[in-house]
Amino acid sequence: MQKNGKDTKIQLTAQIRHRAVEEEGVLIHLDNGRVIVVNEVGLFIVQQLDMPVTPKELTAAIAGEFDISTDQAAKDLEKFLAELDAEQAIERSQ
Amino acid sequence: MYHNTILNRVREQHLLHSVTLELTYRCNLDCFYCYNDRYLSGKLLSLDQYRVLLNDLARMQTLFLMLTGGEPMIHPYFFKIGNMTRELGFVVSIRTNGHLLGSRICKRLKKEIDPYLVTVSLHGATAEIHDRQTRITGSFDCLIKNIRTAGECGLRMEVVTTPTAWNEHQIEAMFECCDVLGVPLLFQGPVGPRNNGDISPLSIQPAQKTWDLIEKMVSERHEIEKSEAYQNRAVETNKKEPEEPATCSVGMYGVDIDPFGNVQACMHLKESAGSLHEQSIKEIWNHSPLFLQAQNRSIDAAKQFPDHSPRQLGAPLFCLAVEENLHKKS
Repeated sequence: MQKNGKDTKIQLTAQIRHRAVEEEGVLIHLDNGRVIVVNEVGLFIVQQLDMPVTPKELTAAIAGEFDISTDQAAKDLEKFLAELDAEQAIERSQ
Repeated sequence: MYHNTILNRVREQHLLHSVTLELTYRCNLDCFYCYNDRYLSGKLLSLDQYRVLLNDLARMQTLFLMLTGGEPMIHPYFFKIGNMTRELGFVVSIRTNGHLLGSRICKRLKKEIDPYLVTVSLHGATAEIHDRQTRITGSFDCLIKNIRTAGECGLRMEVVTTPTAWNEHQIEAMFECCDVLGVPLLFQGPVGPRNNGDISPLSIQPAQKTWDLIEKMVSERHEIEKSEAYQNRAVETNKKEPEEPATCSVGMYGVDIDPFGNVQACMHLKESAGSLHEQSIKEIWNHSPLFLQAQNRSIDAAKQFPDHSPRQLGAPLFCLAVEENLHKKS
């Protein structure tokens, strides 16, 4: 798993398509046909990842949206990003 | 998870999840059994209207789009429309006869549209049989070459065929042909009347035993292979049965839109739920009673098969539109 440096920007790869279905989200990976279903928090994160964003910006956005501490948001985010990494759904740039 | 959670939610909340766009009824081939009524006329949708439609669908969170026809790739705005679908984040598939999939076009398709899947139609394992159906000499050789080219350009391909009295002796050969090309072969059917009720295509209905052979061969292949080509069709395999048995999912998740802006429950049931020249897709999807009526007709049709094994004209399939078109006056 790649480490998220301070200035690293993360975004969805060009091979991901996604939509909201009520509070949940569904992602399709065009290359391998994988279908990924995410919950409300996951959907929010995926929608932020449409544009390049740093982990710090994402953490702040999650904390603000769901009214949780930044520590909790950072933990949830790290776990979710690892899952998206495993699905080859995200890419990083400096 | 997708079927149990997402599709159930789509059904319960009447969300528009997939759309088929018939861009044109014109075609560069002339297949004898084609169901399209090429003489249908009306006011075609403009490029601006497609732009509005696609933006509306994106806002409605529609995920899947299929571009088809006739032959969609001869539509003058095919690439412009296709590019819009890519920019708006749809999962796009293209249904084409494959005749135009030369190297330059394939590279353009990959770059400008990047479809999830391209489906082409095969009518036989030899030029003699395939060209007999298309009535265009050289179409088989062109298709085979183009399937190879499309694969080399990184396009995910699949082949679909309709068993007929003309190709039923070539079922195994068609499987072999697709194996060599490295593409899956799927079957559709039965041969039905044209959408205007013309029953002349029924004259080439295959024998019942042909469908029995296909079922046996498909079953054997699925047991042996379980290949990635089938696993990758995650969005279309392992469909969960609806709560009430129906012959298909008509009216549940999606619509068909014809070249003239008519929004229909499916491409074969030619009843308009509304016109995009007069209403938005959101208004039509949310307010027309046609979609629920189509669902109910499909549920009613399923009641004639208490063993949940529909059959029609010998095929282990049932199409509501074929049944209704058989009784339509042309």
